[in-house]
Amino acid sequence: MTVAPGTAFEIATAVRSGAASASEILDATKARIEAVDGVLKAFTDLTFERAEKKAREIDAAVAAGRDPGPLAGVPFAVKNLFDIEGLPTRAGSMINRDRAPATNDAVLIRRLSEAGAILVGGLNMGEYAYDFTGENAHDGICRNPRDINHMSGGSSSGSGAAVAAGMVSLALGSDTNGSIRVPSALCGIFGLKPTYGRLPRSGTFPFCDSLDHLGPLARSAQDLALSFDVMQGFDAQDAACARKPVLQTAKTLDAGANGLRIAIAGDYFTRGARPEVLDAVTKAASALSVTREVMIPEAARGRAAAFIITTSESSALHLDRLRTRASDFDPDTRYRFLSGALVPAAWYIKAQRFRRWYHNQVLALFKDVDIILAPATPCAAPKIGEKLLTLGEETVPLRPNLGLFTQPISCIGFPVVVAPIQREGALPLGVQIIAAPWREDLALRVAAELQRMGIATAPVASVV
Amino acid sequence: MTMAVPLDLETYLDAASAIIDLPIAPDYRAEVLANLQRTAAIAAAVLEFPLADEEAEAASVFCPGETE
Repeated sequence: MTVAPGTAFEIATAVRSGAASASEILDATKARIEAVDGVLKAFTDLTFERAEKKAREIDAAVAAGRDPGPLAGVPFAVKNLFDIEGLPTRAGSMINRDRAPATNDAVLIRRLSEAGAILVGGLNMGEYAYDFTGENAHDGICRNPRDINHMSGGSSSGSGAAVAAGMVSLALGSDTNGSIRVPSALCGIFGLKPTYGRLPRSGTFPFCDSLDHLGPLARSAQDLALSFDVMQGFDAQDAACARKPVLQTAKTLDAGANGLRIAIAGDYFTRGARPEVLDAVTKAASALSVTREVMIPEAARGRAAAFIITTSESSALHLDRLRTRASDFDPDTRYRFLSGALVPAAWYIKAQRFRRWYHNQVLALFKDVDIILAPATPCAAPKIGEKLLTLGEETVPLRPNLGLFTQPISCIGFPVVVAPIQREGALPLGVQIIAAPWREDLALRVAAELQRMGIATAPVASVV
Repeated sequence: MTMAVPLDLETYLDAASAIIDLPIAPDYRAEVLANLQRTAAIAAAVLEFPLADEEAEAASVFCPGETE
C-alpha cells in the first residue's frame, strides 16, 4: 500500500494497522525529496540515517503489538531554527554554522518523535526568520511548488514548500509576524499559529522573544490538530510557556462550525488587498453563511507596534554578531538589523504598552464572536525577485506588506489557522481563521468544516 | 500630539551607533538610514497614541521562580 505522500492521519492509520510499514513510507518520502527538492530547495539538512533507525523501531513496535504512537511512521521536517541533535542550528544564517552541534532535539521534535513521527530533515528559512519571501542568500531561494517561478513565502519557506510538494505531510515552523501563515497561504496549505505561550520554544533559535510562536503546517486541518495535541504541555525552559492543560482539538473537529458566532474582519482587513484576496474570504464566509462584519480596532497601530518590538528585540539579540560579522549577514536582513539596533528604548516600551491596550480591545470583541475571518496575505505568491507590490493605484514595498494582515494578530498572540483556497489557473490564497486566546480548537473546527465542504483544500502540488 | 521622532536621523544614527559601539560600514549606511527613517515613521503612529499612566504595563512576560 502506498500512502506517501498521504496526510499524516492516513500514514499513521496505515502504519498502525500494519497496512504499510514505516520503512516503506520513509523510502517513498526519500524518493519524493530526491525527485523534487533539487528544484525547490526546501531542505537544508537531511537526517535519513536517524529516520531509518526510527522507522525500524516503529515497525518493530507494530510487529510486537505495542502502540507505536498516534503519529506512527509520519515523516516530518522542521524549519532549521529548531535544534536537531548533531547539527549546528543555523536559523537560515551563515554565521550560526560555526555553532557547536546541538546536543539535543528541540522539545517539539522530541514530543512528535515520542508520538511516533519520524524526523527527516531541517528546512530552509529566511535568515534569522526576518523574512516573508522565502529568499535566502546563503541556502538559495526556496521556490513555490505550485509554480516554481513564484515565492514560497517566509520565513518558514521550506516548511510551506515541503508540505505543499508532498515531501512530508507535516512540518514545523515559527511565526513572529506571519512566518507560518504567509507561506501556508502562498503555498496553499493549512497552517496553525497557536496562542502565544501555548507551545514551548525550548531548543529553538529565537527571533523576537515577545512575539515568537511555533506551530505546524500540513495538508489538512486534522493533521494540524493531531500534531498540535501531542506537542502541547508546559516546559519551564521557555519562560513564556503557559501552564495550560492540554486542549484536545482532534476530538472536537467533527463539531465543525455548529453554534459558532463567526464574523468577517472589516475596515483595515478589506483595504490594501487585491480583489481576489477579498473574494477568497467571501467564499469562505458564504460557505459558512457568515455576513456579519466586525472591526478590529487600531489594527494598523497594532502592526506598527509589532514592527517596533520585532526590529528592536531581534537587533539587540544579534548586536554582537552585527558588530563583528555584519558582512556575513544576508543583504536583505543586514540593514534592518543594523537599523533596529538603534531604536530608542522609549519607542520600544511604548510599543509594548500599546500592545497591552490593543490586546484588551480585541479580547473584548470576542465576547460577541467566536471566530473572525480575515485575509492572510494581500496577494497570491509574487514572482521571485519582485520588490514592489501594486495594489490598485498604489505601489508599496513588497517585503513588509506580505505581513499586512498577519502582523496585527500575532502582535497580541491570538491563535490563527490559515485555510488554503485553491483557484483554477491561479495561485492559491489563504484565509485567516482567528479565535480568542487558548481556543485553537474553535479555529481548527472551522478549518475542518471548510475542508469538508471542499472550500479549503491542499492537494499535493505536482511541482511545475 | 507627541512628536518624539528626531528630526535629524542622520546625526542620530552616527551618535547612537557610536554610543552602542556598532560601526556601520559606509556601504551599508544609506540603506540603514532609509530603514531608520521608515522605522521612525512607523514608531510615530505608536508614540502619538495616548495611553494613561494606569496603562503602564508592558505586554512582556516574566515569571519569577522558574528556570527548569
